[in-house]
Amino acid sequence: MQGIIDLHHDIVFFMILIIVFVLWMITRTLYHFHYKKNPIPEKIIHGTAIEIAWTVTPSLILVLIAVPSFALLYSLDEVVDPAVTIKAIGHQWYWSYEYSDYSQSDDQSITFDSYMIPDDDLELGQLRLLEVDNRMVVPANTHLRLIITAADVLHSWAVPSLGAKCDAVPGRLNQIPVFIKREGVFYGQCSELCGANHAFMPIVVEAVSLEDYISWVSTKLEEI
Amino acid sequence: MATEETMQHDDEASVPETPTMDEPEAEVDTESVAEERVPIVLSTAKPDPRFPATNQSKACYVWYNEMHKCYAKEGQDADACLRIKKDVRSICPVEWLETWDEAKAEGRWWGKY
Repeated sequence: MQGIIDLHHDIVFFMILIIVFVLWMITRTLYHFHYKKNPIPEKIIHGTAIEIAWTVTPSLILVLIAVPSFALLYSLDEVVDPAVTIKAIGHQWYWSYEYSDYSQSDDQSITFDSYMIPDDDLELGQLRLLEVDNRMVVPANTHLRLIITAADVLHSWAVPSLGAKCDAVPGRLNQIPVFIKREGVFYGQCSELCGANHAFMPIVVEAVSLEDYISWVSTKLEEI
Repeated sequence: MATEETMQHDDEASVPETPTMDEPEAEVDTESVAEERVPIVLSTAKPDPRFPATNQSKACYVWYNEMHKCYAKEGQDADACLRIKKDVRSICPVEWLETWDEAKAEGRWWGKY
């Protein structure tokens, strides 16, 4: 996530330089070639050297941007030795989550469904169409591995604040690394058209401290 | 060493008999909590260099087969098998495992093990 922000800031810096240069050129042209100032226009309409320059320079800039972009693209796929694996499974039309690292016996996993809270049940301060009954709780400042898949049709698990968007494909387990740098609640929505209630299966990630996460897990284990 | 261990066990056993001291009382509390809850350890499947791609479905399938291969060779309670089992359960959706286990139970499994 930090890499995405840094690359954005770096590119915006050079973008501003380019915008200032282009605006300066346009202003200068408008000023110097105004019909009152320059009544007889120049007949020359072709210049090979300058045309090569203004074609090659932008393509060089694009190539220079591509280098850090690709480095970032591949580093985003890298799963750094994670401490927690969470499976997010898309259904028509809700998400379900599985935490299987802590089960004591064979067939026990922490699994729960995460449904949107309908308008009528919203409490004051809750976000309409975004709040869910069971949030996905994760520890902050911990390397997480998310396994995204679907049980019926294509879905997409996306939380913009975490820089995460991953297609959920039936029969395929997509893995994405997530590292949340602070505690908080992060909202997202299904981002692949998946049917009638596609707009009503939001995602809520609640990042808590490690101690709170442990106590949440132990409470969930007792419920099994 | 053996004597030290037995000494420790004796101490633990004698804890409930000496409730007048402060420290043993604290120990009793932690023990009772520990009995109710298995300590939660944050650990999960390590990234497998054989499966570096985003798509981990093959990792799940291969680990599942390796788990059964391990069962066949070393028995279900071997430590090595339990480690693989933990990884398989970490990464594979419960529904997949249920389908495969069912196929195994009904003799429809297509794999060697």
